[in-house]
Amino acid sequence: MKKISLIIVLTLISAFSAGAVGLAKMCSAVDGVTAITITKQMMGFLSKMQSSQFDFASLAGKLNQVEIVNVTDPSQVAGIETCVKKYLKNNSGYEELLSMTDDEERINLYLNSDPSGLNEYLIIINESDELTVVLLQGSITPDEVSNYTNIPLISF
Amino acid sequence: MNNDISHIKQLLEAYYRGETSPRQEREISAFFADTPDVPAELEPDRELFLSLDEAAFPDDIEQSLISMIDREAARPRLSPLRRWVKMVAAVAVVGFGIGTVVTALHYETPRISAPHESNQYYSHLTGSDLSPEQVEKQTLAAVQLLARTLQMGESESTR
Amino acid sequence: MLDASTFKQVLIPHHRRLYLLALRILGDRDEAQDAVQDLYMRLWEKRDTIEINDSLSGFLSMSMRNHCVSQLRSRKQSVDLDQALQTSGEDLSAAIESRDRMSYLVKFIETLPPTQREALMMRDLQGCEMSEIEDVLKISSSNARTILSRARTALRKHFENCKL
Repeated sequence: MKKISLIIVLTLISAFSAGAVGLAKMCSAVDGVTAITITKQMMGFLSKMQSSQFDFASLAGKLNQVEIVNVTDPSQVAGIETCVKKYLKNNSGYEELLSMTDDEERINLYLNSDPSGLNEYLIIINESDELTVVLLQGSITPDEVSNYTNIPLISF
Repeated sequence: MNNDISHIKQLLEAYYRGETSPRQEREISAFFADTPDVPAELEPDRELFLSLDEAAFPDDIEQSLISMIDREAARPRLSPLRRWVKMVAAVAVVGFGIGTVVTALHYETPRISAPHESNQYYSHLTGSDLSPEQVEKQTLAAVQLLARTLQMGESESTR
Repeated sequence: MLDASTFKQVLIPHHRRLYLLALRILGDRDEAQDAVQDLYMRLWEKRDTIEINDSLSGFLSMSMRNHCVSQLRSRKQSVDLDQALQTSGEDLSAAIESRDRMSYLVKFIETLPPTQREALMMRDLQGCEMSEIEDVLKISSSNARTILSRARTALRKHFENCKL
């Protein structure tokens, strides 16, 4: 049942710009998988509402969509990763920027650069018993991204 | 026996003034451990010392913690990204439900903002369950993860 | 980025209190020590996400408590979880009913003011020298004696009240 619904959703994903919407949606219906979609609209409202110390507005201006998928159920890891890899195959233009493997994990980073300047970054982190996939779409360039290696983040 | 008792009583007085040496304290402790029958007025002291013995810390507890940290710090880290992955994963799970237990990280996450006026308004605007704080944290975590991954790629290729 | 030396400086001082908490819940010294090691290991792994502020000690206590509770669950012992999780604000009559001398002590120590608590733990449970106590707690030697005296006296009173 699950496999069928995944395939159906996958076939709906065609054009590059629509692709990002599919990633989280196609994974979110199952237990042990957490999927989040953050749209430009959500980020836009946020910029207007919050006055955090961080200049969110300028970052949000360069992002269209953020999707995070986190698979904590080990039995789902392979399936979801295969799904994501299919997504890559179905959308031409993805270039692998990074591939790193060690005992504990495998990390892949892909970038799809549209001639119009729209970039889609896809990070796949496979730690065998856990999988994290992050997709960022926006006008932000790799150079601009590297300004954000240190953001004061989570507090407990 | 009476001499012992009065000697112990003297030591005890000094003990409660905070003036005994470790050796003297051991002496008191040994006395109570070896003497099951003590005068009534010394019974609380006996219980006290026996309980301290029972609860005594393992000898090396502090040092073994320090050694453990030093060992871990010295370990060559093949993937600097691992911590960031854990953080993004934590943020990702934290986004759902108040007080969600993060089993991968073995402790309860703190409560994320309880629903209140601005969140409901935000949810209404966006059609999403996420609060503004969650959206901000998730987005920033994702961007930082990307930045660090790119950074790793650069350092790999310059080797 | 939290480096090893800052990590140690900020977090190691909590280990006594956390050990005692684990001891109270788990009732076993070896298990309590394991719990402390496990917790610090995890803290180290997540060190970049730990924020050093006023709520740090509450956060540590909560983490330890949760860790111990899941230990108990996996142990599947018929431990009275309610009793194990009792806060330090329990009344004396409940304490008197507990026949476990060690847990009677441990529960009381947790109620002492922080400086007295640390001084008592360092000296009477860990066997530290007075000079080390003065260093760690940043107090003078006469102050250290006074504080220890207060803690020990209060402890004796507690054991006096235990007698029925």
